[in-house]
Amino acid sequence: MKNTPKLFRVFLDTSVLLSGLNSPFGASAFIISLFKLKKVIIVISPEVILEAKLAVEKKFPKLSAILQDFLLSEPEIIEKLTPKEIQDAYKLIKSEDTPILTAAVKSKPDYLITLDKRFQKLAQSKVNFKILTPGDFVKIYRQKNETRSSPEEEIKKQLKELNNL
Amino acid sequence: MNSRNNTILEKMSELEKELQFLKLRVFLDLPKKQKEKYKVYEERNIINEIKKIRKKLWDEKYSKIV
Repeated sequence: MKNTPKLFRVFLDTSVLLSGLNSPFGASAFIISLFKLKKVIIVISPEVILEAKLAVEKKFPKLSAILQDFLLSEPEIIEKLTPKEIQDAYKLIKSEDTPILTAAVKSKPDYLITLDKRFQKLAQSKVNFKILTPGDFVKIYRQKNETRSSPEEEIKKQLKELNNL
Repeated sequence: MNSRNNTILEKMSELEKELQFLKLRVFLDLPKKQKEKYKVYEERNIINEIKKIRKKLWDEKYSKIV
């Protein structure tokens, strides 16, 4: 019987989003591709979108079209944070990362994925989900999906079934 | 459309998904040097720019709330 693994819910920090759009073969891009194949749920926030758009406008114009394309692929976007949510979160983590961490908490993810090691270290003890780098997430994803048939086996099986029709 | 055609389309859709998944795995396992050829910008620059923007937004917008 075909295994249907649980879909991980992953909140992407802005650095991971832009890095994934910037380089098609890295771990960040792998996560975005998994989302496009409906194998993970990507969650972002209006704050992430604002940061990404500002960065693209200012420094990375070649990513403009691909960012628009990603946003059109309908990732889950949580509601804008309220001042009270930011104030409450600031009691836990006093940093400019507070709005992103608050948004991540609000989105109830399985993982927050970031490329910023300082943010990872600062925030990990404050939340009840894992904060990982894209590379570490991909390792976990692959381990959890080892029980599933390999794509090669699945392709052979599907071809055989097609031949028998 | 008869049921045989439906089954064929379903199988083809499954095949497409599996081929995409295989492609992803192959991409991910490419040597680092080969992967870097396809980067548009340096990752370090992206991380640093996001840090700058985050700090600026904090100073101009969020710090006034807390």
